[in-house]
Amino acid sequence: MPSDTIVSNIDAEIERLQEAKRTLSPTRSTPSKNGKMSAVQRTALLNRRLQTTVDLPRLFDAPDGPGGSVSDGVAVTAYGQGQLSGVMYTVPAFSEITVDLDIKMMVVTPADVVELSALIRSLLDASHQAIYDEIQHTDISGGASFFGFFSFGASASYSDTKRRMDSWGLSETNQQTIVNAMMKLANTLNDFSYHGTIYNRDHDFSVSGNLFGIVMDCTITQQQSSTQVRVLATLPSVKGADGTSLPTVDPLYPGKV
Amino acid sequence: MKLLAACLGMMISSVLSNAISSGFEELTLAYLATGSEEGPVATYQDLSPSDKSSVTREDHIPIEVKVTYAPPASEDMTYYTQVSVDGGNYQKNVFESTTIPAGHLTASEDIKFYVYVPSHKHMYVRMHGWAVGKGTNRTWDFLDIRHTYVVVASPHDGWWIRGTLRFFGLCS
Repeated sequence: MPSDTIVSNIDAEIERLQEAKRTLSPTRSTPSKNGKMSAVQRTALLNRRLQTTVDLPRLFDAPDGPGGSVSDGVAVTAYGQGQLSGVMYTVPAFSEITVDLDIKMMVVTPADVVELSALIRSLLDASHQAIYDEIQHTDISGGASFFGFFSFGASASYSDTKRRMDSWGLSETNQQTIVNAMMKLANTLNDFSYHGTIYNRDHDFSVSGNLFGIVMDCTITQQQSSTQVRVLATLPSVKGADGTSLPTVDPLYPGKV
Repeated sequence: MKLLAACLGMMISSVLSNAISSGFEELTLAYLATGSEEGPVATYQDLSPSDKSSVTREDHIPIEVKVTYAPPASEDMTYYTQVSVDGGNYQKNVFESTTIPAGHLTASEDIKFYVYVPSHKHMYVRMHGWAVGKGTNRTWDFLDIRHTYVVVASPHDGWWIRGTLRFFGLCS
């Protein structure tokens, strides 16, 4: 066999191997000009996928909750404006009423919220205290920084609230103190009271409305036990069926705070 | 003998019928009494201004009453409070309560109606309050006060205007 023929055969063989290598290489597996992969490319891609190790812990991550990655903690299950069932006011034209209400309910009342807020504030450092104080001026907080502490008006899982407490710079011990304080208030019959004046003297029509307030539902888990808690914000308001607020002299305020 | 037996029988039957009817009566009264033994549904403090007070003619004065509600646990209640001046009714103040355990709700309202003082010698005010059970539609009257006020001329009016108003019976 002439040497030229041998050299040309070797070159052809090298070119074929390089082509095969280029096809099998993941970085160079480009689709053909018409946008479809060739049969060789598809086979190579399939082989590569089959050889890839599947990260089972990531795919089948256990849902967050009791018994999960967080043993003690708080999850915010619902957050929003709630209606206080129990009373409804209709104030006639050219009149005003000063209401004074006291209801016993299974909720964490505004008076307790104020105490919880004070506790949390005392556990924060100075820089975070300023941020914490600012929260109570937002609408979603209902007048209490505590409502923006775990989540800004959204539901949050155990790990979300844990991360949030971490971001506030709270140590594990301090976080446990807050959870303990909330657990202590759960499942107790509390007095919810408020006082205020609905002013309708200037109108020749009657106004009617129910009491509304910011409500946060939480699930507290502590040492294998789980408890539901409903928390009421400090600033309730009286609103009509169409969502308009009734004219009040001052915002209604809880009587025992 | 037959006559005696007949008389005796009539006496026994009348005694028995009396006993049965009185028993029924007691039962009926007892039945009616249940449901109204829940105590007062609301209490009130006296109306202000007090009776026989002087009010200024063509002025708007507040008629004020404080009502404390005591809703029963058995049913939802609607409380109405209404003021009427010289027979003319003003709009009602309405307070509705839903069923909650007895003693779990303590509510009171300080209601202030602003009414117009008419040009008469006297002004007759009636404050009426009643409660209606939403389930049974039973009605309880818890407030019915009637006051008479003496209508006087405005102190800012001159003596001759006051005299003229008195002459035509527009004030006392």
